[in-house]
Amino acid sequence: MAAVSLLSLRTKYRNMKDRKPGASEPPAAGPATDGEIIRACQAGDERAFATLVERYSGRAYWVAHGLLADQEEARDVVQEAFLRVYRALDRFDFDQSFYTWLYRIVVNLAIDRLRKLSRARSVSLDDVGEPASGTSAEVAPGRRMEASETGVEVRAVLARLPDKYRTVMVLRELNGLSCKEIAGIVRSSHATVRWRLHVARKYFKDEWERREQRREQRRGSGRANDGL
Amino acid sequence: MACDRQRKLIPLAAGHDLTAAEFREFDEHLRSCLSCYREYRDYQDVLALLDPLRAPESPAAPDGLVEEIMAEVRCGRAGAHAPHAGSLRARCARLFPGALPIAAALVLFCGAGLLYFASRGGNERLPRIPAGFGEPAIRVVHDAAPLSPADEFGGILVIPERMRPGKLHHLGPAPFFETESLPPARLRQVSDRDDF
Repeated sequence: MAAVSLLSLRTKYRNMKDRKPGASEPPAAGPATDGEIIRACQAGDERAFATLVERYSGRAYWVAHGLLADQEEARDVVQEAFLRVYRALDRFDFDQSFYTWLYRIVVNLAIDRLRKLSRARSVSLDDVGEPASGTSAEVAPGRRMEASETGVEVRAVLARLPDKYRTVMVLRELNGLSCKEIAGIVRSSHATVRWRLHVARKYFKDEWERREQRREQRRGSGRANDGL
Repeated sequence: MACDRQRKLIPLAAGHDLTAAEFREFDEHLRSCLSCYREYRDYQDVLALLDPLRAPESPAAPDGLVEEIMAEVRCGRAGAHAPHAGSLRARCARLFPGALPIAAALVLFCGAGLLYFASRGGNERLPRIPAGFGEPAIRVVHDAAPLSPADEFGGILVIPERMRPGKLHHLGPAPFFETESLPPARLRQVSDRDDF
């Protein structure tokens, strides 16, 4: 019984934190709908495009940053994404929502960037165990978290996930998108997204626990050395 | 069995991604299974590590990002591709209204003409002779005089005036054929080929 009440409390707590992002509840940054703004852009109204940028660049940045964990790379990706959007606005499909389209571009660009970066540098989970002085302060959105060792470790565990699992984790856990919204962004079925989310959470938990075990072992061996 | 089934739902349940029906069943199971409940708690604890990284309700773009994007849009790489300028097709359609269907019809007409020309042997390709038929089994007659049966090549290929590329018209130790209909230049061209 105690277990059940705790479960419901935790559920309530999580539900309070869950947000409804994106198209189902478009940001109230202006009276015009996305469709109206896009039509204005197509007619040559540059100011209308600025409205779109102001409306969505923050969220797009958080998505990019969630995947890349790097402030500068995330800025570049968001810039590139909006440029691509601008170039392709005259072919915009009004049957789909703008933010799904934008997020898809951001996710694809971020994954491309990740692949290029991973070729250039390979990040080891053990390398980030000791937070470097420059690493903890580099990320603006997660500054409060990344000042801590735990934040760096969480980022490192996320970075260990394969791309498709990391994408759903970032979109769901960090950006609060629903499985249905994620399915639209990654162009998969709802069932596929749920399955990926299942695997990703399991992977994340297993990886985190392995890391905890290694830390415990290190502590144990440190105590043994101190005793000697 | 029920435990195995519910255990598979734990990662989704921990993130509140179960359907209402799934959640009812799962919740019912947790009331009687301490092991699954602990597993569920473990998942929630681990996922809670991500909470500080979650995006705020209305995240603002980093300082200067909007301005950077708009500057790029105005004068940078996007300049030549502005949406109001339209695609090349759209711009052509504005400049030359009605030209697009005419151009398409012209292309279709030319394509059909080329196909017809090719099908009538217009590319002047010669018939292909199958290997191993005879040694040599074919000869082109140079003049209008019929060859005798004692001709050393033993056969005549008569090439019609309108040849079809790749198609063999007459072959082998055949009866004689007049070749008057072939222009002399064509005859020479055929007979000069090594494979004859």
